[in-house]
Amino acid sequence: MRIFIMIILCNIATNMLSHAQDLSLELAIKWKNTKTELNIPPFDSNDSVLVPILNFTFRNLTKNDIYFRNIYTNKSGYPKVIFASLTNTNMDLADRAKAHSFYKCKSYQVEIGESWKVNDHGFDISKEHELNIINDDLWAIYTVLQTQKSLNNLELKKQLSSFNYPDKEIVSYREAQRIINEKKELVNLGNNHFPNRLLTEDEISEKYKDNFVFLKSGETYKQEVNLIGFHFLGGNYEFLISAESIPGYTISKDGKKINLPKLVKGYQLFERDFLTNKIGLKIN
Amino acid sequence: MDPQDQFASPYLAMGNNPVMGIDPDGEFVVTAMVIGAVLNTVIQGATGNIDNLGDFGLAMGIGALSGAAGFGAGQLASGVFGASSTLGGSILNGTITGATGGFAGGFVSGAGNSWAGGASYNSGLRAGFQTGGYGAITGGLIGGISSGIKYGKQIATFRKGNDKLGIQSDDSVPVTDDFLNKSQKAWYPDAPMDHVPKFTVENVSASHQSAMDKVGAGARTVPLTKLDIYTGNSNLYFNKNLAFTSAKRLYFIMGHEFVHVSQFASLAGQPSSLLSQPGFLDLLEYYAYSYEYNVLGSSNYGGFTSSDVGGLMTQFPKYFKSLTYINYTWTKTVNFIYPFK
Repeated sequence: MRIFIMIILCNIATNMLSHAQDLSLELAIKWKNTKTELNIPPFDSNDSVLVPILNFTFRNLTKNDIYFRNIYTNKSGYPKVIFASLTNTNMDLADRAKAHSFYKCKSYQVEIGESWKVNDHGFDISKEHELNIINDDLWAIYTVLQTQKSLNNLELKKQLSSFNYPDKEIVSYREAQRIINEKKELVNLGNNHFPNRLLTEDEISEKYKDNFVFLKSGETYKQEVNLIGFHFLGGNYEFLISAESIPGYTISKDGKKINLPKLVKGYQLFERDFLTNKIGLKIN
Repeated sequence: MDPQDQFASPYLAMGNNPVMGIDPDGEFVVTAMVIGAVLNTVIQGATGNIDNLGDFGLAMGIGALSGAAGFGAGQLASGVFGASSTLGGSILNGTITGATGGFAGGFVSGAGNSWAGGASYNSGLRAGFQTGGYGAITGGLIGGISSGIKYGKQIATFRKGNDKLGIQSDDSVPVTDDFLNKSQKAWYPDAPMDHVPKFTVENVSASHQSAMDKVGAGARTVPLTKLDIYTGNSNLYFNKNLAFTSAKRLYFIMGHEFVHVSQFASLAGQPSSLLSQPGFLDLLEYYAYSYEYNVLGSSNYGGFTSSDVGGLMTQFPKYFKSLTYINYTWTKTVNFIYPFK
């Protein structure tokens, strides 16, 4: 179970030199030894777990100072996964997360975007299809993780049943959501509900700053995403960015495309193709 | 689902129904206030109690208060007493609900108008009780009769559906696609089947079957996408081990899942990333459970409280309105209503 093989499929470093007018986004995986209070199979709550971390590194290879829509905007450090189905059960979500299936020896492609989707390798998404059932298991695990993180941020002595903190009272997922909703401001989950109008420079650089990256020429910016959910399930994964170019607009709450200003506080809007790579993760 | 119908509800004080007791947009209470205001103004005008604009405003205000009081008390009583499984119980509940609302509305109206006309505190109170008494009698009669009629219709359609399928509500039913299709036609003839390419218990993949068994699920609705956009279609899989243990159970599960089918049909053209938003699943489930509880008579309301519903309304104002089962016409034409809580 603890044999991990990590393969970088493309080395973009050499490519970067020949694309001096571009933005690059490099994906890499590192492992971090972490003690977890999570009580989800195959790990017990007191296990020290090697957790795969996906690193995003943006490099501004242009001669200009640029700003652009961030690919990954979840402040929790966890991926935003889509649920694939609605299941007719009264079971608490924390218990559902514990009842996940295992996917050892199966291969998947993980599309990283505003939200993350897992498909069978080489799956043709242009035909009408069901989302793979693995998305439900990932969604349940990451929803539980994010919920507990919010409870911890509020410094409440409450936990979901999939955790095993020694001094915290167990609450249901829905009860936890109630608590978090009441104190939403304190949890600080970020703000990605864009208004139905052009954003001002101040809004982009202040209120909605987590949705954008500002880079001076030659600068880099790094982000980390916790892949522990994939670790729980097992299997072979190839992570890639789903978008071919960075959009020069936001989507409002009403679903409208609103263009971004070309210049914000001296930074030019970057809205074209970028360089990136794929990265593999194999968990036996 | 709750196979033995033994789900203990902590919301007894709300008639086991935190869902029904909510008027999220305040539409109904506003309607009651408008009716109360107009009626009281007309009555006060006809009896010569309105001489100027001030009297007019006062009559409108008292009428509106009366309407709000009657509506609120009626809602409260309806919540406390809920539904009943017998004709007598149903009539009694309707009578109590009507009488409570009638008394509250009548009291506010009687006392308010008296005090506005210069009556003493005690005289106003007497007038309030007198008008409230008349309101209680009238409301009780109307409530009792209408509840009796509604119950009669429900029981008639229930028996009709049972007879058509040759089944008893608590008996297990055949675990076949043939029965699934027949029962759909008998129970939900107007269900959105055009949006369901797969409707099956016999052709459920091992992964779906295993996932349902692990979490004790009776069924699952799987929306379909194309290029990351919802097509409006959903596959519907039933659990052979859990959904067919009784006709009643299958009936509730089917209705619940059809709400989801309609929800995804209305989301056609939307990006699938919509379903990564925290809380969106709860919104979809809230309306499916509301339909199951409010319309079908299930005891399973999914554990939602008014606080949860308020949160969903704030979080998803647009979808809160568009994804309710009330928008789907087939929910109004179900010909098999199971009346027992």
